[in-house]
Amino acid sequence: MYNNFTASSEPTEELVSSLRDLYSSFGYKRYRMSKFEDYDLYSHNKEFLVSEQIITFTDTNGKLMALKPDVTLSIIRNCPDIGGTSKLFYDENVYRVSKGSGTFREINQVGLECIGDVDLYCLSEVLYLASHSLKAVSPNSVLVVSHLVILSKFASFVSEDPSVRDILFECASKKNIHGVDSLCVKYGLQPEKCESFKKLILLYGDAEKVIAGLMSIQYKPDVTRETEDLKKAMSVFKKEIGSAVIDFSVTGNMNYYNGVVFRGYVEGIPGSILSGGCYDALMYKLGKRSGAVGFALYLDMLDNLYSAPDEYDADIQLIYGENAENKDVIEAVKTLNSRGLRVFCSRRRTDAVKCRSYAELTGGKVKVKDGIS
Amino acid sequence: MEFLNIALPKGRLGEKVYRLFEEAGYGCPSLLQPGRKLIFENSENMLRYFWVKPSDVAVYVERGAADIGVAGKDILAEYEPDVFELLDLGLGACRVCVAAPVNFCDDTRKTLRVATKFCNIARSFYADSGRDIDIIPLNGSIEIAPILGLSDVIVDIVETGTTLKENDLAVISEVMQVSARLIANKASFRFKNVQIEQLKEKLYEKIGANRYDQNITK
Repeated sequence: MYNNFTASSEPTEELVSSLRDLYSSFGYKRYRMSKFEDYDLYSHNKEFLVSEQIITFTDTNGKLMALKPDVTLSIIRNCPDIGGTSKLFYDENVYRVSKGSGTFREINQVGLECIGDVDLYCLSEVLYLASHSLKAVSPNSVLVVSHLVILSKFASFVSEDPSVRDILFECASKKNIHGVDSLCVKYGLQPEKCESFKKLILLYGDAEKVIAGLMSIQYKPDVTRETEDLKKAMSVFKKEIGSAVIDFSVTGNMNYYNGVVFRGYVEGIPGSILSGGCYDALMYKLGKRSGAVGFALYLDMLDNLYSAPDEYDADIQLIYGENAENKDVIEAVKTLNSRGLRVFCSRRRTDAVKCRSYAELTGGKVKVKDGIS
Repeated sequence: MEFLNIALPKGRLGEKVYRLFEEAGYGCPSLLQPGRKLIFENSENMLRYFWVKPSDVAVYVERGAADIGVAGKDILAEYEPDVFELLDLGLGACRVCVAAPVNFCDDTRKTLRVATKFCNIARSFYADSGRDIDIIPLNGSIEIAPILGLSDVIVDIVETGTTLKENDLAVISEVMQVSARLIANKASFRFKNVQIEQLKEKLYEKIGANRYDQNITK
């Protein structure tokens, strides 16, 4: 059987199915949504969205509606703010502007949200599921985890000026240590504090290494509690070396995110395909008292990974000629299919369809011309 | 070990940058041979170099066609690619400036017409001061725009100032300092971390901490 026969089922379909099984196995319940949502929800939280542009339309009742550019906001809005913990996953299409083309695209997004009484176990569980979602895409993947409060405390340690802090965050996201030096000179900041910030943003590696590096920074703000939380949250990766790292270049908007934030990368895809974190601040902004953590996996990014071209349109071209009985052709196709072959039937041989091999149907019997015996 | 793909800017700056890489132990002897070839490999060091248009280096790196590259800070500020900016190489130092005819007097009652190929940099610079401007995007020979009355001022790269002087223009304000930066794709940084960090360290050693400190610019 040819390996590429399975090309008839899309790799992303298989992936989504395995992800649903993964999330269900941890007690997450599927959450289905309508494609539309009140525009107000997004217009008040545009900074939270990947792209601020939204497709809108006026509903029959005159209400301004939007095609969903994001799933998290809808889930939070519709999730009751009650005690306990809701664990939900989704597989939905969202509509937003693609960075590359600058035009709107329908994007398939899979993800999960853990809302309510979110403790450190919940955070570890979400990190674990994020890492295993990446592994389902490719074994060569890595989850990159950061802690916004640690980064923010280090930035405030350097300067309380919001504009300086913004630049420090930008420098962190680009691992731009010369930018920190420049800022230090320009604003007359304390060089020792700037050095500490530089050390923080240069840290990279598994949890043990980075936490040891973080502890070894002499001159720093008090981040004991956050470091301990990060260490506990990352403990699920102790036996999975290389699957998750800590890197403070992962940042996020602090009006929405707080605490741990993370991105997922897969070898062969140039950008992050998974994004998530703790977003208690967003919950608060939407009038909820609970905590929340979740992530989204952007399946549109996988096009490049699965785009290894199939050299042939079919494995065999079956030429049935002028006088063949239709039922004989179908039977011949079924026989070849049972051997794992994709069959393209044609009265005459055509080169418009690329096939590995050619066969003729004569008197109800298949005669292979070349290649496949 | 996999190949490390490196995008270098074509031209004088690219050749200087390559010399620095070569001195740091990342040579690829065929690269400087005359000819029109654009891709060069050194399979011994597992390096693959590409010569690309300077303004395209960041695109190659952001989209992962190159793992690392060298791009001017002007290009990074203009296009804001989502890449790591690992090192200021200090090469190709110059400035992005606002320049105007020598007798220019800004009439603040009118919208200021700004000709430039750095539309985002210009927009951001004037947004900080709240000045109302009309951007006129151009791709070259920016200096003639104010002479022909197309614009009031220009925002452009200034190296020695000779071109400005020869066209009766003068710098009226500096927007930013520019030099070549080592950039890395954010995914490549994870999967080729040891290779990229080693290269960065060796380049850092080569450019010398002292020279580096003198050239620090954001």
